[in-house]
Order: sequence, then C-alpha cells, then structure tokens
Amino acid sequence: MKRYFKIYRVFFAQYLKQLIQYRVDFSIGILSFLLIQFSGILFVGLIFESIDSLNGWSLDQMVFLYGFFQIPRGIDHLFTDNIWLIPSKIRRGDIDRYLVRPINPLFQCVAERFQPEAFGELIIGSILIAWTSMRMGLSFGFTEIALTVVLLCCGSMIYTSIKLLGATTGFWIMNSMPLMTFVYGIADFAKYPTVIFPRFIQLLVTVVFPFAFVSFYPASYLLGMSDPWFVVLGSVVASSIFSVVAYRFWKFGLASYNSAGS
Amino acid sequence: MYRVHILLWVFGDFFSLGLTILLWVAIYANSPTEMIRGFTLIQMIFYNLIIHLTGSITYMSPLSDVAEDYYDGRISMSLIKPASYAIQLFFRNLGNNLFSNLFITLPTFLLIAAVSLATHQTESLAWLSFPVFLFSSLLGLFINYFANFIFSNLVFYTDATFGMFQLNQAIVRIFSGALIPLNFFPGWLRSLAGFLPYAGVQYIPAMILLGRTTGNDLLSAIGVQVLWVVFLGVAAQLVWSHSLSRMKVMGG
Repeated sequence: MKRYFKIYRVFFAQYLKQLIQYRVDFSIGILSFLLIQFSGILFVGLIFESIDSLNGWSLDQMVFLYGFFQIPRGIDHLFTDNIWLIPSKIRRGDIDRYLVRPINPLFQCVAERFQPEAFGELIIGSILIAWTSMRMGLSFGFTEIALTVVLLCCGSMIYTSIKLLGATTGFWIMNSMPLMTFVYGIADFAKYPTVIFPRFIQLLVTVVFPFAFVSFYPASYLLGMSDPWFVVLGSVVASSIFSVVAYRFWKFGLASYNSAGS
Repeated sequence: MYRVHILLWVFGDFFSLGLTILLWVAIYANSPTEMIRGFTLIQMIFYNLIIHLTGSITYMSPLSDVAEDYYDGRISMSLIKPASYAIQLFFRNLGNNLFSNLFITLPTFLLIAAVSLATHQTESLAWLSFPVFLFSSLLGLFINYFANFIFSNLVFYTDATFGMFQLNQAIVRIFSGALIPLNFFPGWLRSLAGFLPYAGVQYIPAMILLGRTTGNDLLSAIGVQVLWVVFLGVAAQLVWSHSLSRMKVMGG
C-alpha cells in the first residue's frame, strides 16, 4: 500500500509537468466548463420564471441538487479520468505496458493522469450548495456531514464503476467509447429530481444504473425530503455491488486481452 | 465492423433528445398555464424535435480536423494543394454531414411526421414552408461551417484543442436555440444572441418550419442568414490568411 502511494506521487509529478506545458488548453478547458455550467443553471432559472415548483422542488432546491450532482462527478473526474482512454489503449495495444510492470494494471492506468480541470466541478458544486443552503437557511450538524462524506464516496465509486464497465467492453468491441459516453450520459437524469420522470426512468436510474444515489437521494436527504437510512443503505449497497462487479469484469476482460500486432 | 459504433452513437443521440422531451413534459405538468412563452407542450416537443433536425442538417465540425492537421504537421501538405484550406476542409466535413443526415436527420424527420400524425397536430407545423425550411437550413449549414472554421483558427494562436472544442460547443448550444427557445432569454442575453451568427444555424430554420416566421419576417430572416454567410465567408478568408502568416508548422 505504501509503495502504491509513493508510485502515485511519482506519476503525479510527471503529470504536472505535462500540464504546465499545455497551460492555455487547461484554462480554456476551465472557461468552457464554466460556460457549460452556466447554461445548465440558465435553463433551470428560465424555466422557473414560468413555474413555481417542479413536483414540489423549488428553484433553490433544484440548484442545490445541481450543485450536489457536480461533487461526486468531480471526484471521479479528478482521479480516474484516464479510464476514458482505455478503449483506445486496447485498440493500440498500449495495455501491454501495464501488464509487464509488477503493479496493478488498473492502478497504473488511473495514476497516469490526474485531472485538475475537475476542480471546476468541485468548486462550482460547493459554491452552489453553500449559496442555496444559505438562502434556504439550512444548517448541517455532525451526523449530516459525516453521512454526506460517505454518500459522496459511494457516489464517486458508482461513477467510476460504471465508467470502468463501459471501458472494459472495449476488450471485445472495436470502440467502446460511444457506449461509455451513452451510459455515462444517463447520469444527466440525476441533475434533476428523479421523481419528475416516468416510472421506467426512475427504475433505470435507481436500479439499473444507480445514478439517483449519486445526487438525487443524497440531496433529498440533506433537504429533509427523504429517509437517511434508506439513502445511506441504498448508496452503500449500490456502490459496493457496482465496484465489485466492475472490477471483476475488468479482470475478466484483461484475461482475454490480445495485444495489437505491430 | 463499425456497425455497433454507429448504432450506439445514434442511440445516444436520441436518448438525450428523449431526456429533454421528458423534462419538458414534467415542466408543463407543473405549469399553471397551458402555454409557456407562446408554446404549448406539443409545440415545445415539436420545437425540440425540429432543433434536433436542424442540428443534424447543419452539422459541420472542422475544429477537430484543424487541430489534428495542425498537431501532426499535415497542414503543410494541405497548403500545397490547389484549393484553399477552407474549401478542402468543407468537403471533408461534408462527408460527415451526409453521414449525420443519413443516420440522424432521416429518423428525426420520420419521427416528426409520425408525432404530427399521431397527435393530429398537423397545424403546429408549416409543411408548406418545408422547401423554405430546407433552404434556410442550407444557409444555416454554411453559417455553421464558416463560424466554426473561424473559431477553429484560435487553435493556431492558443495551441489549445480539446478545451476549444468544448468552448465552441457550449457557445453554439446556448446561442443557437438548442438549449431553450431564444424568446425565453432575458433582454440582454437576447441582444447578445442577435450579435452572434448562431441563431441563423438552428433557431431561424426551426421557427420557419414551426410556422412562426411568415410573410415579411420570413424574407428578413432569410436576408439575415444570407448576410451572415457573406460576412463570415469573407471573414474566414481574412482570419485564415492572418493565421497563415504567423503559423509555425512542426513536422509533417
């Protein structure tokens, strides 16, 4: 374990060097991210000029949910962004490099890239949460904060696992990127209260791809609209199942890996 | 070999359209009035379907090609060919555009026709204006191409690629009407949209097919689009020659 931390530090330092090289790309990335967030909030804001609430959710609550949605996504983005490159690494035979080293292949892949662009998500999310909490006069005690930390960890695990599941299909199909984008895109439903959607969508994001546990259930717990034990239990169960299945699937895929010819 | 790839791409595209429509259904269910900013629910659904249609007809994305050509130095090979870079790139992108027309435009069109028949809402759409709509969309395609081409020149000045691509997409999404009909915008944002060419890419053609732009307004809307095509076409040449004068090509 200690060795892995040390290795992560070395990888991290390498990555920072790369980043400094492409400073402008980085700042433009942040700028475009802010604009995308602005458009999301603009949409909700403009809608609420015509309606007072969406199935019982006020504008402040909607923005709170929107902010909460960013945090687990940001954590996943920060640490495991390199999983997105697995399909192309498989295609080019670059997985070879991971296999010849005496370190866990998935760890190597994840450690290769640290994505500071994700601070955009984390900062925007925190600002939106703090701002709307203040407007609604919410205050959180120790229990809420402790449970929120657990929920955020579970939420990020759900993201990472689903991303890994998608990426692993790349061992059998030519390019699994569209599949990954599609599955990851289902998370967009979780930006809004799940209850406003038809039953089959609710089932999809609660049971099949449990993105509702990433943002909707935790946010509704913090807003006092949902029972904490159901939320925490659901999150822990969902994230455990998904991370175990995703990791097993990845190992299975790795076992059937054939390198690309050169 | 790439069948699964295409299928998933199309599926994902329609999935996000589905999300938008379900969201609007929920919004209208919570609205005290049947009409929001001049749109009933069914008209709003048509709006989103048509925006999806125009988005696909006008699809032109030269930025990734420019970035790729620039980075691996292949751009120097393009410069010695007897057609200008903007024209070469246009035809390269036209291939992707035809592809998008085959797999997205056609199904979307059938979907619109089916919804319009199923809901007996044929009067929500101005089918007689269909040829004008197509013409306007074609102008939209040129506006989109030139605007994106000019934007992609920023790659030469900033060396930024992926960030640029996202920035361009975000701007287009807001100001083309893809996010929300432009008449939902507050005054200042509306005027900003008026200074940008993107409304001419999707919003103007969509409003024609919805039958909301007629008579003299129709003529002036098309006129605005023509002016944008001419203006951006000239601007693209100027920007390109400026980029060329300071471009450094590495490798190739």
